[in-house]
Amino acid sequence: MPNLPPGLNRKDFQDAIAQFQMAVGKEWVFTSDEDVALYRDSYSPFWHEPEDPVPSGAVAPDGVEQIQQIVRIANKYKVPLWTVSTGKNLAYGGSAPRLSGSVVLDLKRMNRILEVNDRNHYALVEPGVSYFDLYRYTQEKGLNVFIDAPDPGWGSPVGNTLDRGGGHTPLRDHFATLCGMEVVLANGDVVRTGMGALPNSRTWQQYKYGFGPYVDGIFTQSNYGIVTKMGVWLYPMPEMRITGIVSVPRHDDLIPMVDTLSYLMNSNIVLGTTRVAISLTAQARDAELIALRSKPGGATVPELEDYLQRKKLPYWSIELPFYGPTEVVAAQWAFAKRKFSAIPGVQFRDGASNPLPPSPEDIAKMANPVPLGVPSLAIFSALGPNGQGHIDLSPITPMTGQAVFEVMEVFDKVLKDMGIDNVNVVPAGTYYPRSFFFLFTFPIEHDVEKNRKTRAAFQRLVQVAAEHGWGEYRTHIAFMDDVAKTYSFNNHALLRLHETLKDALDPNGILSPGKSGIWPKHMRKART
Amino acid sequence: MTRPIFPYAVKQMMKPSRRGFLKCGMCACSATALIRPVSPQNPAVPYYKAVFDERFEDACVFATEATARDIPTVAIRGDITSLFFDDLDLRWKQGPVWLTGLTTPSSLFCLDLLARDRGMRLKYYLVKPSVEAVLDVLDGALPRRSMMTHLPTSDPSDLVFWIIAPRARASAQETANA
Repeated sequence: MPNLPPGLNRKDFQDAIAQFQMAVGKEWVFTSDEDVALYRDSYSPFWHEPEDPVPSGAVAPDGVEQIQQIVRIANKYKVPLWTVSTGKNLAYGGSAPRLSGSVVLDLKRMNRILEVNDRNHYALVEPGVSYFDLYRYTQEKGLNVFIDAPDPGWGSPVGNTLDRGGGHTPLRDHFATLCGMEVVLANGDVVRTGMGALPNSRTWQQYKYGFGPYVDGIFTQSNYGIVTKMGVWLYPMPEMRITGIVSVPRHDDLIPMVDTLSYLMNSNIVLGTTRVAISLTAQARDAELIALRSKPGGATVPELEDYLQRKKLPYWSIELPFYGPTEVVAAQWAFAKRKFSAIPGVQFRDGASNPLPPSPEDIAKMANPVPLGVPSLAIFSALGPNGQGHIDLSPITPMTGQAVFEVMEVFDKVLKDMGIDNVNVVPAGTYYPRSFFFLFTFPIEHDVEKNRKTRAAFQRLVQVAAEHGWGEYRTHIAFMDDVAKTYSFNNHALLRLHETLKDALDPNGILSPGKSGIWPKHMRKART
Repeated sequence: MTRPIFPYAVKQMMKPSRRGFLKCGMCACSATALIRPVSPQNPAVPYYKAVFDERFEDACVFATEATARDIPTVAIRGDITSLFFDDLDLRWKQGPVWLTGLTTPSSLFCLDLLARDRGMRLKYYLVKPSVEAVLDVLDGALPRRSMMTHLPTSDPSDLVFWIIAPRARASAQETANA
């Protein structure tokens, strides 16, 4: 017996389902408990709790016209739809809806690659196309393009871009690669953005802005429309990827180190995701370090510096990625070394060197080949205790050494105060330009009490981060309201604008209620 | 022609490869007592592949037993990318298939989610099974379907025996579009 959408009686729900079946074919509407269960969140922080969101059904259209019919039916019966592309957005909710009882609008069947152009380096794809699909297509056609896939690679370029995901290579900021969309609005109207609004346009995927207000952004992390086609820019296949490792000996060296990194990234010399690594992390189980940290008052910075010096380890290191022609990447690495040489005691080491496209042997050497433009699921083998599920807290901070010190100190204190000791931290990543991205990975377990504790810590850290001016860039469905509330300048003016847009574009509130904290009018009242 | 992206990682084993044979041979030596005379597999279950994680002795024994039952085997080492991209993704375009395996939970997790999209479902699993229990399933009647929302709680290094099967109402159109 399916869960019902809120406010809908069983007869209306059954009528709506029957009409969905007429629109897409009976076999593409799913209401059995067995089928609906597959749309639940595999990484739910509410496992075994009544709050775990359960859809009432799912409908899988094959094209734009079918989506138009679905939204008209949904408007008629006030059925909330929750749109997913491939539904692999794990750690952020997967294919589960924010609002229990929603019907999942599953776009996996819309998996056509409409164009890949390797003269101007772009693709036009539907939402159900995965990174693996796109990679296979470019391989089979022998196209001169390089794909930036996130980890893992089974998601879709459309879905990941709409969620403003990040990758590893020069085009790692996926929203920045977006060029033109087709969107079905809640009233069934079909809109093409940018140059796509020009009938017979010949530059839909080459020029982003078209004419007039630029609206593409309002369809990302939002519930204003259903994106049915998207242009994404690809990178011309680079000749080489090399990396160089920079290491510095002292704690405070991080400040000039990050300043130099910032200069190199903002100058487009370093092109790719890297992160600040601290040697103490790898030494965490060393008895001497444990003893040092356990003494009253903990270890001082000079003691830690001395410890690392005796172990012949740097305090900080960064692996810089370079993509481009052989001569250019060598010159970029040489220039980077010259800039970092201003830091006393700095050391350099050549890292990986991979001609592109990579050979099978090169791929074999990589624990994870994603930085070589090859989608992968290898990250699942590396998750360890987080393999059962995890949720990710990911505040955006300034790209400075001082910010790294402050984030680590503030979050460390909160986690200790709350008795949380199982969080994996990836500090100071460069997934997005001009800022740092921290990743705090909380394991999800089959233990209700542990998950409650995890949720409380997560919510506390969202709040603490916001108090320090560090905002979440994306979050799991369970925390969307918490995060939205932190963007509160001028009495939540941004959220009020989001709600104004929602009410105008989707007055019945049928599209993804609650996405990013944006609720339709009739549900806002009930929630306050 | 698609170039295999991880040709090093997948060992197609209608008969075990030399390395796989040696490795599994060593495993089998330590587990000889567990190997029993082959009885014909359930003829209603034409497994496309038996997936085994060659890092684990028990999984190698499982592969040997599967080979003895004329089930093609394929070795992984945790990551299923190559198995999916170079093999299953292509095969699934023709239709859903039966798969079985003895792998870690994370490998099963990935295969389960990918198989769902192509008209298959996780039909059965057993955490930390004995080889005897695995063979009982391979040789005996198929277990009844039980609905599973989440995978079992288990240590990441536990082995899980599993069967993925075409779902009852999978259609040719479903997979044709995939």
